[in-house]
Amino acid sequence: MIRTKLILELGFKRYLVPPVKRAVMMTGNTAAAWAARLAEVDYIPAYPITPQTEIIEKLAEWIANGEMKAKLTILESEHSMLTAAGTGALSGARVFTATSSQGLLYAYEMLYNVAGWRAPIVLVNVSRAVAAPITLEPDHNDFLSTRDSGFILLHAETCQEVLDLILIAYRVSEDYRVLLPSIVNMDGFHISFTREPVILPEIEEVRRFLPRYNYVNPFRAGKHSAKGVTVLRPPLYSFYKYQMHFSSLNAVKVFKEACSEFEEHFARRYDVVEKYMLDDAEYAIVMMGSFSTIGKKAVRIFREEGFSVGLLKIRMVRPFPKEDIREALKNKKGVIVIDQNISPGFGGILYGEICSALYGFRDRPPLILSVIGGVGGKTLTIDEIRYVFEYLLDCERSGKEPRPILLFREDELEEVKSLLKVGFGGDVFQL
Amino acid sequence: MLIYARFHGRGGHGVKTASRILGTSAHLEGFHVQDFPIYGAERRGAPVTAFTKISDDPLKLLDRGYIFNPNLVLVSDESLLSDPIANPLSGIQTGGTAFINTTKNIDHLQIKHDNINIVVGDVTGLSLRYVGRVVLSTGIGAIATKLTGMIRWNSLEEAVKEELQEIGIKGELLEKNILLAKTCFELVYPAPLPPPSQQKKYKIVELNWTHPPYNIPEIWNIGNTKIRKTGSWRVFKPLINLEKCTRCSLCVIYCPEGVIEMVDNSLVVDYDNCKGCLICFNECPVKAISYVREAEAV
Amino acid sequence: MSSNSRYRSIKDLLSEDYVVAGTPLCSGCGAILTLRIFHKILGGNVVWVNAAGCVTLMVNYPFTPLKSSWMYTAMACAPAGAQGIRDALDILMEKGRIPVDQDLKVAVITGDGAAYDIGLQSSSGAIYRGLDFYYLCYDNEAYGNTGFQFSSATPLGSRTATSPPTPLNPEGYKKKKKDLFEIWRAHKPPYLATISPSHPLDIARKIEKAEKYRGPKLFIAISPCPPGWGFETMETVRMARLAVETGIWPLKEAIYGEVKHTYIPRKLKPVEEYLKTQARFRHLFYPVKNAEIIQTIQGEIEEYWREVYRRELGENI
Repeated sequence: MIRTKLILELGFKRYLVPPVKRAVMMTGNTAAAWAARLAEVDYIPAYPITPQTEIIEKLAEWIANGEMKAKLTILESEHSMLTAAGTGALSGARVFTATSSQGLLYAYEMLYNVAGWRAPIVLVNVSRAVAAPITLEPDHNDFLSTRDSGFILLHAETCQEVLDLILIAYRVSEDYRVLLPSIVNMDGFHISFTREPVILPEIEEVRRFLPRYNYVNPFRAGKHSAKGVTVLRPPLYSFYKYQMHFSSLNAVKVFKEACSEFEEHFARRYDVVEKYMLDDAEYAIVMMGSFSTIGKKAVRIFREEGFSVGLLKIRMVRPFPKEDIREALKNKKGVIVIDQNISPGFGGILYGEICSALYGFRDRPPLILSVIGGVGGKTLTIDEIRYVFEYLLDCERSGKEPRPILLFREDELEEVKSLLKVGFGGDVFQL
Repeated sequence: MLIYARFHGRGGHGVKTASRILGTSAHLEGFHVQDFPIYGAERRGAPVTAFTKISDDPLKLLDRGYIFNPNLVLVSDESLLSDPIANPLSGIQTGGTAFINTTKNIDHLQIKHDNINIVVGDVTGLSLRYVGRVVLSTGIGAIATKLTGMIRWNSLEEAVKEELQEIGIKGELLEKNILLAKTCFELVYPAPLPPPSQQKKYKIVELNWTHPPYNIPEIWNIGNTKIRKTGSWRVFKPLINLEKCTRCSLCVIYCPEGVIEMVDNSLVVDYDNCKGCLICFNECPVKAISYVREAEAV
Repeated sequence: MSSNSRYRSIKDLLSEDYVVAGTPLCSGCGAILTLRIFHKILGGNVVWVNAAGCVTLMVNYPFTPLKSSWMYTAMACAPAGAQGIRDALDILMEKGRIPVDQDLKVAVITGDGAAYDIGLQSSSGAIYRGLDFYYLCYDNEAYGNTGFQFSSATPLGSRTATSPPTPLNPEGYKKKKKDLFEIWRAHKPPYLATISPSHPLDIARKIEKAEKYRGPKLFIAISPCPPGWGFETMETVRMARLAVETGIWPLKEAIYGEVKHTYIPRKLKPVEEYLKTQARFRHLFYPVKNAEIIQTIQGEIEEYWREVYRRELGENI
């Protein structure tokens, strides 16, 4: 029974629903490309960056051989790419684009603009840690740096979720109650280059789920308008910013509506958060992204060892689903927030957000532990999760106030030492 | 003692410098001072505002930002009185003082406010006479300084030198400005400036989500700038002598604002919007266009 | 030149205006004058894509003087914004989702700061890709909107807020103006031209010619700026004309990179006539004349035209 439940929660529903279509092995990047193709996007402004490039290559291939009808333009930078994406959407085209890490930061100015223009594009970000120092592997600092931009932020854990969330993101973004762009995030390598079975929806079914995009008043001859207009009066600026906030808040409800319709069409269920063995659990681990799968494994192991643990996966980061988080963590004895990011001088970003959601909540958990792990693609092991879980239990027993934990393993320290030794030419350091 | 002085002018009039001349001269007198201008979208000729706050008590200057309840208002162009965006007399303290730069008599001005003191003077004319061009900063600054009744000529002279040198004015031109300042300083008398009080009680409202397109910064009502009536920016008014005019149309083409139109082989000027740049005057090949000072135009 | 042009006299330009009066731009602004003439020729079905600059403030909520469409992007990326609109309209027409009569001409308008500096990359990209658009750069030779700091379009000797002439730097701005025309020309766009608001017929004929081409159609307009350059508002057109007649602002075009001058002054007016009427060059004349700098400027102009006379008129002077 437990095993069946696990399969269900991980999203491999193909065993439980009639096999409409066999799942296909594909990477997260390919799943994203498929989503763009199934959403019948009109316009794809693009710029290459690892590990996102495969998405654009796939789309370029389909467009070149006539399998997909869309305009693909390779711009000269992500900044321009996002600009073109925004103005394309304001001209009535359904727009898809993708980037990673440095590219997202290079386009940063335009994230705020595209959101402020209310251009409902969908941008896939393939998370990769931000330089400097530089790496190709993922963490969530790039994605989370966009949280104040006005974009709707969704984070996928599996390749299937990548595909599904992109389709749902178009529904949410284009809804007149929202009219804000979305970022669908996936972790570089662990999703972008990882193959797993993905069920490809039928295009007719997608069309029924996702109606054609109609912008309010696109650029057209004879129907002139001025857009992106400078607004210098402070009250007017505040007014529009507040409106973006209200519209973003609307997205919780709109997302939930879209998810229940999505389930009717495709028999896969999503929500703003995912609760894994959580309802009856005394302790909760909060995570997001691909490493949640490792968290789920830890939960299963700890459960078998007799601990009452569950996992809360944050799928929607903006708007921040405060009520759902409160409900999910209600009356837990302790919560561990594992952040795959670091805000130097503060700590884990998600930890801060979770705390603020729970502050003032009567049934909030008494203990919330901040853990940072997986930064720059550093692996996360069951032993590390066990370590922090035991620390949480220790704090609970002793009444100690938990201090934040920055995960680092002995074998990793040895590796660092040996590298520094080469880099500096001798034992010149103490670590 | 608390003086809340608000300067209204048009871009290029020098209201920022005027507010700084008042600020610096008060500072030199040993008062506590804040001054600042607002920069907005507006260009040369459009309404701009600057503020100077003066007190003998630093605690009274625990304040930032705009002045909504001035006890001293300085209007560098009479046409601003009817400008809904500038709205120079808004919030003025009962019993407070407003100076208006105009050639008109007080009785000929359209002023809706009761219980305020109005002072008028032709700073533009004095500026043309002493400096040879329209520089309002020195004159208005000097008048503001005198109206406070707290500042001596020596401090003002020092302030004019400091502020004008700051913007690169020196030598003979500076001397001319000092002469202008002296004249303006002697033109007016200290005015009553009752301490400003909060006149308006603000009500807080709760905003809600608004339906598109009203939550998007877009304009659908295109070509609507004419209602701004930029004709009020004008210092000089161009006049076309249709007898001399050969209908060559150069003025129509060269007008940056597009306010000259050829209608039935005659030229019509939209004076509501003509900014008075006088390119038409300068470009007319047969000298059929002349100009007069706006204040003297009938 | 264009004996077959439909613009033969100034009266041929008395067509509909698409920029109505009442803009908040400075009195006597050279940029809006150029835009007004340009827009008459281009017609009304245009979407202007803008980068931060003086002209941005022309469309300031809730007002727009344009009877056409407007899209403000950001400072570096107006050509990319144009790309997005062009691409979207193209694919929607191709897919049959909108009729061709709803199509718009896409035109970028930016100042020199955006064109010469921060937006050089995005314009190079758009030109390289062959984007079918117009680019109107109003070049007032500095960052006018922020208070006249130098840009890479600022000419040698100009005073700007960030190149004040002092005893240590008597010449003011020390570098030479970047040659954007040549940078753009290196992309071999179908049409590229310099224009001046003093020569409206030249503008009209150039747009008329450019319209025949698909791809980038680029215009760099000298835009005398009364507050920044320091001259009376009535002098705007005269200043632009002097720039042309002293030869410091050549009127030329390049079709697929082949340059031809559309106005060749046979006798150049001394550049002093142009310089001495502007406060930004005042320090070159007062209190003492900086003959060396003036001669450098004059020398470069003459060298430029000697080459033009030789190449286009076959004359060696």
